[in-house]
Amino acid sequence: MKILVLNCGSSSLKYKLVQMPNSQILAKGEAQRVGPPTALPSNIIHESDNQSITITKQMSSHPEAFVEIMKILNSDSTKTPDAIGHRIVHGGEYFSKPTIITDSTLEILNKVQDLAPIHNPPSIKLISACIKSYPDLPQVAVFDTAYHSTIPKHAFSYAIPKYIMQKYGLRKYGFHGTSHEYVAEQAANFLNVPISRLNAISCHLGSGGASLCAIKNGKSIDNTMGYTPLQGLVMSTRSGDIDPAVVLRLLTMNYGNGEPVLSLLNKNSGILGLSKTTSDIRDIISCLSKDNLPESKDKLAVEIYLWRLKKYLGSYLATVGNVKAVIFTDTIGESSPEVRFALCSGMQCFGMQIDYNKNITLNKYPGDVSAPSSKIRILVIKTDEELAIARKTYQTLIAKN
Amino acid sequence: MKSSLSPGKRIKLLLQKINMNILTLNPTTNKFKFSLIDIPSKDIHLHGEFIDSITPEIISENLQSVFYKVCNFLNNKNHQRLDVIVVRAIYGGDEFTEPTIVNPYTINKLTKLMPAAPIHTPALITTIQKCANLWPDTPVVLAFETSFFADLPAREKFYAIDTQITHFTFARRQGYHGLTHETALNYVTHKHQLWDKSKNNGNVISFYLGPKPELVAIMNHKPIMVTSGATPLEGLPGYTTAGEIDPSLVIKLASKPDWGIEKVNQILTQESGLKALAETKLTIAEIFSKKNKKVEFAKKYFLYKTLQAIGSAAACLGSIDVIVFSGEESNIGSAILENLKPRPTFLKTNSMKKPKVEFFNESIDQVLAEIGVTTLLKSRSTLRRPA
Repeated sequence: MKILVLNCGSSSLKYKLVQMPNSQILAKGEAQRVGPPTALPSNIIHESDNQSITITKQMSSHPEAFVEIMKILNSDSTKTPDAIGHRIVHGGEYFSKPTIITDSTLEILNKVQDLAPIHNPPSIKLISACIKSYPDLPQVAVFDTAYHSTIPKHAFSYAIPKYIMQKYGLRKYGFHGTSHEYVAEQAANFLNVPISRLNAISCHLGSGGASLCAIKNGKSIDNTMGYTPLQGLVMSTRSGDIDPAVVLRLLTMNYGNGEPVLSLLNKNSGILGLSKTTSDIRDIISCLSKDNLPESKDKLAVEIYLWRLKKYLGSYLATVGNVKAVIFTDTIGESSPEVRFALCSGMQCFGMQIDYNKNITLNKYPGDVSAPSSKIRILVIKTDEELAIARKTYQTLIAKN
Repeated sequence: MKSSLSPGKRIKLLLQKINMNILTLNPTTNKFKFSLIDIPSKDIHLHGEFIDSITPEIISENLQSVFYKVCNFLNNKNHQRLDVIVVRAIYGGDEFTEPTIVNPYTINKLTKLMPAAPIHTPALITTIQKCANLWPDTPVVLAFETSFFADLPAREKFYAIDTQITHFTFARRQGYHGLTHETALNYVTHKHQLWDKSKNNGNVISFYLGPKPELVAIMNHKPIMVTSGATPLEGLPGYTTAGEIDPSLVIKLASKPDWGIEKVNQILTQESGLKALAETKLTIAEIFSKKNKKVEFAKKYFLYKTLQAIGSAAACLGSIDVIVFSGEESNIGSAILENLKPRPTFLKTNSMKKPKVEFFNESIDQVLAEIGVTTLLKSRSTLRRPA
């Protein structure tokens, strides 16, 4: 079965065609600058059979981009998909597992649009378009929030009056679930333990968003992101945690208008807000090793980023207990030995020790960078959300038949 | 001999030898408390509180009656005199990084705190002025809850927001029970000789238990991490305060029609925390003593957040030598530690270096009295020092 995985960004559409059950990637690509015209024209970069082609064409919406992608795939009879797997960022309280899309699913999806205002609406529009043009192609929605449906009530609740939480559906949802689950399974394989017995902390450190997941017996029991992806760690442009009273103060400064504050905390904070020059921690992390460097914006940005991470790692190590592995994944987690080293140093009271050389010379994934004496394995694992979605789509369809 | 002692230790010894009467004043948002305390015994001879809003008129009236009570008491005690007045200040900003003896410039400096503490600062100024009026010859010491956190490392102090905002002091993290943490730290420092750096044992978790619980990680006598934020609202859930929540949620609620900033603030500070979790007003001790499903949930929630805060502090410190509980509910500390699930490895009995657990039971009034006398003694020793 050939599964086309579609991953909607705010202005991009990533896709991967995966042969299941052997997980072979047949084609992949990305439609960029989807939406209103920008300085550069929108295009599709498509890779298959070791060839890369670029098609330039104005695509003003995700459904239009999808039509173009299908044109490319349909031109080769070995690349026509048998099913589609959609990544949906936020499934609210309604979806705790991958779901085959029907009219009633679509209705519920419309209800959760606003929970992820940037990501959900284009995904839902795309699904409607797919149903219209390919009514016979089975489609499965895979939710970033689903893996976190096992977070217990005391960890997903906020300490605010119940009637408010119920009225507005306020609670921690958690994100990056597909990735956390995927690397947890990889880690269990690597360590040769059943996933149902894996206690781990997964650190999904992306170049954009980032979250930590506390995993007990293979299940998510907490995630640093909350009701939205704004809570938790310091990210590329998101502030992460901030005193609610400061938020109220910022609202007052903006005459009660929420939009500019949301935009400030989501788009102009984090590494970008502090450094003013970059939103990528890797551009400025080198200032850590320069001891005699005077205090600078960059150094402060790096210190704040790492400190928040360290606090959450400690918090989750205590929460899970008897942790077998700390997993680093996604762009920063996989490619920044400096971040891994800073985070894992000085954690002796948790019995955790990183191997300096292994960490720097790592070139094989999954890899173990912990010192032999460390009670906790420190693993670096490449995440692959599209592959994980393809697998889930396949499993869901097989189970149905 | 004298020179071999640390300055703190020398003052500690001096404290045993002197005899003083101290009046402590504690103006909070809707309460004004006072105590007359004897040093070195720390016995509280007089104590009272006025529950009312703290307008200048009400403070003046109340202080007048405190004056008569104190005079009466001291006159009946062989006409002893009042040696020092200590006033607790909740917020000192960047202006006050240590306890201060009020001088002619103090009021001017205090007015700079007005934007950050608009309700508390006027009350403080009235209190000081009225004290100068009633007791013109008695020194007044201002003790700030935030001073202990003045040197909080930048990585902990600042939020990850636009530097145009971090520039404002209202957007910087600090602690709000600094006077108690500092005195509790002094207590364990002397008891366990933590000043001896060769023993490398200066990592302390100081946990204030009261209406607004606050946990601090202390390394080499300085706080490096605190659960509170720019205000006591962030961090652990309190009796009625929410603790950490998603910032977007605050914006979402405030943007709802018929909500608004004031209402959100009122809900998050007055209607949240343990009160919201258990759907009834509770102290921390009561989450252990009262038994019903809702209270059980509040207990589970509070212990969970506490465990996470301890984990964070442990990661910041690397190892923990002492855990000290303080505040009006300090005695519940043992129950909290015993009920943490899972039990952190570094707290297990078979752990190689199990931290010592201490309880600092003094009330804020006793803490204030000690700080008042210490501040006075320090200033005198500075004055006497030859030029």
